[in-house]
Amino acid sequence: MEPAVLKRYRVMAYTTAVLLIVLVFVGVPLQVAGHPGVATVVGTMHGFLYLIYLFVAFQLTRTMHIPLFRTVLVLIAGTVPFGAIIAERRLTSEYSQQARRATKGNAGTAPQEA
Amino acid sequence: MSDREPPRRPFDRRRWFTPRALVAHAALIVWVPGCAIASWWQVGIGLSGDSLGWIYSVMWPCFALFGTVFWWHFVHDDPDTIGRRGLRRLQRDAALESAGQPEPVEPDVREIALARAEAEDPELADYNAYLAALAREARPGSRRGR
Repeated sequence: MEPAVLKRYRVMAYTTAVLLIVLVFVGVPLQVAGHPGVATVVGTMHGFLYLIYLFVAFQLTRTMHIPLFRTVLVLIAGTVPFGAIIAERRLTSEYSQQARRATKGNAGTAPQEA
Repeated sequence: MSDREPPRRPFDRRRWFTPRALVAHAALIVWVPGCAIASWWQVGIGLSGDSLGWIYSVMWPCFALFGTVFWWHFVHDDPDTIGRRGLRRLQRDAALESAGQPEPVEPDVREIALARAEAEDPELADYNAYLAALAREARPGSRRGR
């Protein structure tokens, strides 16, 4: 089962990523063309949701004992189009690797759930 | 993954001066004034009539606050628990600890009762010791017979 800290991060990563992609590839061209409405609404939403992204991303990096530089990369990934999606893919696979290694490490001493 | 969180080591003030912490200090020194300048710049945009500026002028102090919280965590981390190597070390420690400590054994009520009875009755104790010695002779391989 997926732990809550990873699930929260994944939800926020996709939310901010989709909003940013809409902002950059729809909102900004429309703004340049003279219709700033989409950019204003989506930009504001992305701004506030990015704060939540920061919070859950930081929680996940701490749970996974990720070093400082990579933590900063994960945090700013939410401001780069497609960045949050790439970060989410990497962190999810690494999380499952870590969980598998932890299970293997304890296999001899404690019964493990399947 | 909280199930394999180890007990934390006590904080050591030298951690404030590890390379990791020094990088965090430097980043904070740049980040907080940077956020203040950005916020002020957005206030200017807000004053010029763009209401989006007001929203961002609130957001930048939030970023500064988050940066400060992150900095606090970075400088108080145990450097030996960071990264893949730190994680491996934690897992190894946890495995060693669980291997070194045997399962807690429940006290055997029969032995407690026997010890109590022997304490009250020295003759019974002598007789039991005699029986135990006989049993040891009969089974030399066993460490204790009773």
